[in-house]
Amino acid sequence: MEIVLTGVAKSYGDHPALYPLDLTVKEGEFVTLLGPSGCGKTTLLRIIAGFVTPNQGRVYLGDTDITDRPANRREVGLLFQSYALFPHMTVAQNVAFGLKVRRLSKRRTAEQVDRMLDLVSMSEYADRYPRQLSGGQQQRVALARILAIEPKVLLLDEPLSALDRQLRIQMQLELARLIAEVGITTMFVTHDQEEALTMSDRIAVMDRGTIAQYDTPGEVYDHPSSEFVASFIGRSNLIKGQVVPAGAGGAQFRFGSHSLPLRADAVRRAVDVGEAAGGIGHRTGGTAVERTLLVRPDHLELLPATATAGLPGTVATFQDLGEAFIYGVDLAEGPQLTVRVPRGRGEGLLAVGAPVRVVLNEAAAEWLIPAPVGAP
Amino acid sequence: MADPGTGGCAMTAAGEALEASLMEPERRRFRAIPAPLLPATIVMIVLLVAPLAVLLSYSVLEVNGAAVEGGISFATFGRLLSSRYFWFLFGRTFAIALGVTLLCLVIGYPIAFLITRVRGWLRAVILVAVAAPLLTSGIIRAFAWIVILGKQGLVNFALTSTGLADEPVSLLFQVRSVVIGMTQLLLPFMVIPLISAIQDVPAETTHAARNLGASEFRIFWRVLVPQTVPGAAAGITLVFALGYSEFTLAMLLGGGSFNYLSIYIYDSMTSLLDWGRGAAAAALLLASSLLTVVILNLVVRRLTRWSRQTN
Ligand SMILES: Nc1ncnc2c1ncn2[C@@H]1O[C@H](COP(=O)(O)OP(=O)(O)OP(=O)(O)O)[C@@H](O)[C@H]1O
Ligand SMILES: [Mg+2]
Repeated sequence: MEIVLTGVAKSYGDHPALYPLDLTVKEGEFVTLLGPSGCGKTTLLRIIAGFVTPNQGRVYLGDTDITDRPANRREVGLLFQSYALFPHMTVAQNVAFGLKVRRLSKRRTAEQVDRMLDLVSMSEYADRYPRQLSGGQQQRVALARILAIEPKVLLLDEPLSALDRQLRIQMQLELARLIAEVGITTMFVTHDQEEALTMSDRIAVMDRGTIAQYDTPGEVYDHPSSEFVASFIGRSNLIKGQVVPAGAGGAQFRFGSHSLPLRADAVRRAVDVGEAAGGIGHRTGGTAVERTLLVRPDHLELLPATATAGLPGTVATFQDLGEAFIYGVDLAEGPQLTVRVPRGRGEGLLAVGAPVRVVLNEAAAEWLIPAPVGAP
Repeated sequence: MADPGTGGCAMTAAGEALEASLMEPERRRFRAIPAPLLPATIVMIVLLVAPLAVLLSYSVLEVNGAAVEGGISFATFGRLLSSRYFWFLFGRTFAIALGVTLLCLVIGYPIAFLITRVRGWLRAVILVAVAAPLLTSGIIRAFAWIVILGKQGLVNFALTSTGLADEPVSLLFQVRSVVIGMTQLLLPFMVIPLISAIQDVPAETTHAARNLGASEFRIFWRVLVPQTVPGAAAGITLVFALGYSEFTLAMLLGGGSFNYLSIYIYDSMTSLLDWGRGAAAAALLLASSLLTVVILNLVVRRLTRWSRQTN
């Protein structure tokens, strides 16, 4: 079922945790709330689950306003970060708890418990107590317990953060598969951007109580709406400079004494959104505008110092990620750039201090960060 | 095992104890006392175990008054166990201790629950009120109850002056006053373990229950209370063992005609100078108390299977 938030805001005392925000999660959609610690993700989920009362705004489930409904009558399943299994009940009793509340017959309860444990592949552990299970197993039981009551929407608050990396990746896939199988509308909280990118239909990037951007993973990665989003998702090079008109409708990005040609669509979207299409010269009145250029590290390449193309610099840092190398290159003129070179592509390692040239590769999709509202 | 020299004295001793328990189960009792506990162990033996052994030995010796006259004999036990009065007293003591335990549980649980839910000065006030009996002497406490419950006491004053009763009700020097006094005295032994048990219940489990649709009533009985069984068991054990052997309050609040197992032992020893009978009754008191506690713990172990790591 659809989740709609309109103008929802929450303060603890006089400390605002959420500024008024609107958010719609479509039927069957998997949406991730992504943001740094303390940005209000848990607060938002708890408002939907009914554990936190918003100071203003309404919460809708489908067409029903549930803002004033008590938490135990919302049919909103919340999976807790700590799993919150009942330690004094067996796995089967845990899963049956919500069904007993709903006064299902013994037989139907048992059937549903079996079905759910089967779904999460935990049938053989039905008589164990939570303490006798591993973290990943506990989490699957918690998921079965929630799905058993067939909630209208599913909320997950960092369900994977307590697991080690290997298990987390495995559970990511499994969770995504299970949720797709059930087809339930899902909101998922994480501060792990990789998790967000791999699992979601849409990502809501949050920043200090606001939603900075709400879009598909591809859009958020390629076309971030602000420097915050750009630097929060993926590695990024943010270069400050000027956009200046060049030739017929084209433009260049200038920083230091360097200039890079810009594709027209990047300029159109970032420089003056909303105005009729036209040359950059027309839109800027022929003058330069200050902007920040985003270049992802995998859109840059390193060339030998003897090459003529590219910008000269020296290797300042080096990091081996396994599947790729990350170089930090100090430009002779300008900022330090991060360059990602896939392993097997680089012709041998470059030592720190080595002179190189940096060039945009063919796949490069540079992006100008739109100006904040109100700026020129 | 790690180098025994690096772990310090306690570690070494613990390591040795562990080793002993692994290698020689039948001998571990003698080797398991870690060296740092030795002084305390000696004090316990000299001040507790030895006098107790001497006392209990009187129950199986032929004694006349306080003088040992012959060898081993179980005649005293026989005399005691064939006495109807002793069985009556035994039953009454057990029933009162059990009743006080149940009262403490029923009163203590809401108090403990309240203490975990309130903050600041209110919490401090309730805590001090509950713990106050531990801070005053037994005799003063008993006299305070006499002032409250006596014929001219506070309760009767309130009853007669408001017209709820025509003449003073007798509250004192009965089973009733002993139960009231003991419940107040032993309440903290119930409340304090319960507080920590309630605080140990993860708040998220109650949230999860609410999220699954449970009412507050169901959350309380099905989620919260079961998780506090270990704490309740600790409280029940303490209150029962202490109430079962309580002496001062029984003596002072019970009045002259009230009898209790502990008073019976006291009378045997001091007034009648029948040390054999006193010792035998003491042995039975001790044994039945231990037995009750053991049975109780077996029941609790069964109820709290979930808190153990493995099957
Ligand atoms: N019960 C509370 N009382 C007061 N302040 C709170 C409370 N809960 C949250 N806050 C504050 O509200 C803000 C948002 O908290 P929230 O828990 O929603 O963050 P989050 O995005 O979930 O962070 P994390 O990633 O660390 O879980 C924080 O500044 C936090 O300190
Ligand atoms: Mg959180």
